[in-house]
This record gives sequence, structure tokens and C-alpha cells, in this order.
Amino acid sequence: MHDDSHLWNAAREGDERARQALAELAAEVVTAFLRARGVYGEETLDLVQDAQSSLLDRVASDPEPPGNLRAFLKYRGYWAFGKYVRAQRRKRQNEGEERLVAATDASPDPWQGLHHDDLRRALHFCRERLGARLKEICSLRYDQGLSCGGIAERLGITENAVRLRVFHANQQLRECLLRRGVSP
Amino acid sequence: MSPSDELSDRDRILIVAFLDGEMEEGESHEFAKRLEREPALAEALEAFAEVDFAQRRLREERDSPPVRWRPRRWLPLAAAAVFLLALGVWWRSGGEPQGLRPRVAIVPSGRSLVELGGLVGIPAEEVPDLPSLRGAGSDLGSEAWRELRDRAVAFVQRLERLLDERASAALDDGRLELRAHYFAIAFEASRDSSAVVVHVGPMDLDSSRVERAFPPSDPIGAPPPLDRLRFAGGQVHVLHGELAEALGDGTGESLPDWNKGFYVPRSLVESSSAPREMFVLLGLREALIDGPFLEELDAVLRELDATPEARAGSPEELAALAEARLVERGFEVTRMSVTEPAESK
Repeated sequence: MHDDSHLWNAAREGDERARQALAELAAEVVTAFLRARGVYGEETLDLVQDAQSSLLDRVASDPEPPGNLRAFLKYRGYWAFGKYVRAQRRKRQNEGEERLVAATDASPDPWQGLHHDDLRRALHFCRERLGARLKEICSLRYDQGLSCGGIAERLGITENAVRLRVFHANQQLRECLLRRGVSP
Repeated sequence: MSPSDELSDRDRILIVAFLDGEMEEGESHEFAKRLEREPALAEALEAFAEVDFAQRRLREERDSPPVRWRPRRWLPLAAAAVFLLALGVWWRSGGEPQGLRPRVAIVPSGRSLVELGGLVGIPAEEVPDLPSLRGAGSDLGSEAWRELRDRAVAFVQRLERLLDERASAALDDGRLELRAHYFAIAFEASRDSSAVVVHVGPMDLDSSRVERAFPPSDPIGAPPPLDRLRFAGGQVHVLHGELAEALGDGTGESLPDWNKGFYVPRSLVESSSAPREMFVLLGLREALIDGPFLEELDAVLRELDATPEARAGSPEELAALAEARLVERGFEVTRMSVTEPAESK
């Protein structure tokens, strides 16, 4: 903890070695996060470099170090993965495709150990029990691969309303899955 | 009550925007710091992300073609680069395989080429009649020996191709998960160099793969699957005792029974007038085609033939000498014990 703070502060004060160490740590954590979700190769490299540079930019003006640097960097990994998903969606749209590329079957995901058929059946069961609006949101987001902006445009509601519905839909799905013994 | 229930709508919106990569850079930095400091927020995000990710992945799998393995675009290039690198290293080493030396096992047992050819449907009349050279006075390294070797290698290549075809078909059908076989070639050399017999067979197959690669319904090959397993298991036993043991248990047969399944020309070994037998198994099918390796083995056998101790020694002593010579040359050698003689066949 102390070392994390020290590293952060030293980097903020322009210590090149500290900045280098921070960048390397960010690369390590974010790369591991992305690989766990099936993102490899050049795509990983770009995202990691992006995460590194934005982190160093922010550190320069942020006097308050995170309490747990690794945890903080992991959440930066979530964000980087979100950017990857968004980029893939745009790429797909540009190519006129509808496929949503999120991960490969080689990824050690949170559902590891669960037979996919079980998960598929359970998700199908749970989605069928969602209310009409949430079911529609799931269909647009996951089956058709639309962004929140695209869904908002389609439904004539705000993007934040879409995000709220997405959140509630997934919350209900998760509770349903847990009740059916499909533990994430 | 879940952590998500405690969140404000704003935080729920932020979680989705954050995970969709739609949050502005500075805001995402601050949000990541919040996540690190607020366990309830982090827990809610991770719970949402699990379901979100699972649904995305299932969609992707649903839309993907049903392939067992999807190579990435750079893989062929990487494979080509590795191949070229390996080729370069091999070339610089003078063409001799370095580091990855063929494994050699010295065993006092074997099987006829006709039997082996039958396993993959090669008619007996098309199998090179190598034993007929016995007593023909052929010397190791002689023209007759080289002709014998060439015919043996040609046979091995044909056998390999047939097995490859079957393995490919099994792969296509999903009966074989991994192409993990290679071939062995066994040289049976008599001490007086009057006979050289070559034996070949698939190796390094575990029982489940063997069963799937050679199912009972497979039309190729007359012998029943058990015989094939026995053959493969017996050959594997030469190099991999544990595997053979597993195979033996799987068929209810003990290892001695397996060994008895081999043709062991004990009468030849014990007969004072007959040549002694030495069998050498070479692993790695690349070695079969690799001329320098065969030449090297040839040289070892020739040296042994000229060694008085080898001429005077027992088959076991002869095998020990061969092993020592091969080890000196960097081969990995597995020394087998002499099996009990089989029932006369």
C-alpha cells in the first residue's frame, strides 16, 4: 500500500523510473485482464498503450493516489475492455455486419466450469421471464449488438434510460440465474 | 439485498457507461478510483459485468461457425516463422537434428511387416518381403542393405500416409481430438549382419485416442480393434510403461499377456546357429525420412558388428553396448528388459 502511494507520488513528481514502473504495472494488470476476456495480439497492445498513456497523464494532475493500485488498475482494465467492445461494434457496423465480438471461447471467464449449454438454457429461461421492456432491451443489446445510443434512437428514449434498463435487466437475470443454481 | 440495490440510478448508469467504454477519459479515471474505494460499487459492477460478458459471449458463440479451433490471423505467419527459424538452425547445424534427438528403445521383440500392413489394409503381397533377405549375406551398409532400407522407408511412408488419412478422417468426424501419433521403425539386426528386419507401427497414442482413431466400425484393416490396441499398446509399452498399463487394464489383460501378444523369436535367440536379435525402435516420424539419422544408426550397428564383445556377448550385453553407443551419440535410449518367450507362433 505504502509502495503504491510512493510510486504514484514519485511518478506525479516526474520521477522517470517511477513513471516507467507505473506504466509497466499498468501494462501487466490491464493485459492480464484483457487476455482473461479473450483479447489478444495487436488489439491488446493498442488498448494497453492507451491505458498507460492516459494513466500517466492523469497521474500528473492527481495528487490523491488510490489505496490499492492494482485494484485501481484492474478497473482501468474493465474500462479498456469496454473500449474494445465499442471499437468492435463500430468495426462491425462499418463492415455491415451485426456480429458482436466480445471474446473467444478460450477465455477463462467468470462462468468457467459451467457447461455452456446449462448457461444458455438458464439464460434463455431467465430472459423469457423478464418484463417486456427489459426483454426488448436484452434483445437489442445482446442479440442485435446495438449500442446504448442505437437502442435509444430505436426506442425514442434517452441513452441513460437505456443504461438503466440494461442494468436492471442484468440484475434480474443474475438473481434468476442464482436461484436456478447457476452461480457466476 | 444485493449491492446493486443500494446504488443510485446515477451509479447504475455510470456502471453501464463505464463498461461500454462510453465514459470520458477523466471521468473514467475518477470512476475507477471510486470503484477501488467503494466495495459496494465495485461488487455491483462486477456482478453486472459477469452477466453482460456471458451474454455477449453466448451471442458470439451462437453466431460463430461450429469449429473446434479458430486460428487467429497471425498464427499462420507465426507458424511459418517458427518453421523457417527451425529450418535455419537445422541447416546451420549441418543438417543433423540437434536437441530433439530421436528416441531409441532397444527391445527384444517385434512383429512382422505383414501383420503391420494388415492393420492399415495393405495386402500382404504389397508388403516388402524383408525377411526373405535373411541369410542372403547382406551386410549393413551394403547395396542390399540400402535397398532394404529404402523399401522399408517407402513402406513406412505409405503406412504413415494411410494412417494420416485415417487420422484426418477421424479428426473431421470428431472421433480424434488431436493428431498425436507418430511412427516407429524397428531394425532387427542379426549379429552376423545376415538379416535386417524393419518393423513399423503407430506410437504415442493413448488408449482413448486409439479407440477413436480405430473404431470397430472402421472398414480399413482386417484385425479387430483389440488387436490394433494390443499392437499400439505393445509398442507404446516399449517406451511408455504407464500407458501400456492403462491399456492393459482397460481390456482386462495384464501386461504379461500383452507381451505374449508379441512375436518374440526366442528360438532364434536361443539357437546357437541362428543370428541373435536386436531390435531398435526409432521414435519421431521425421527421423524416418531423415537420411542422416538412418546413416547414423547404420554406423552404430556397423561398429557393434565389428566389436568382439558384441560378438561374444549375450543379447542383453549386445543391447547394452548398442545403448551405450547410441547414448554417446546423443540419442535418448530406453532399455527394455527381455520379455518371456511367447507361445510358439
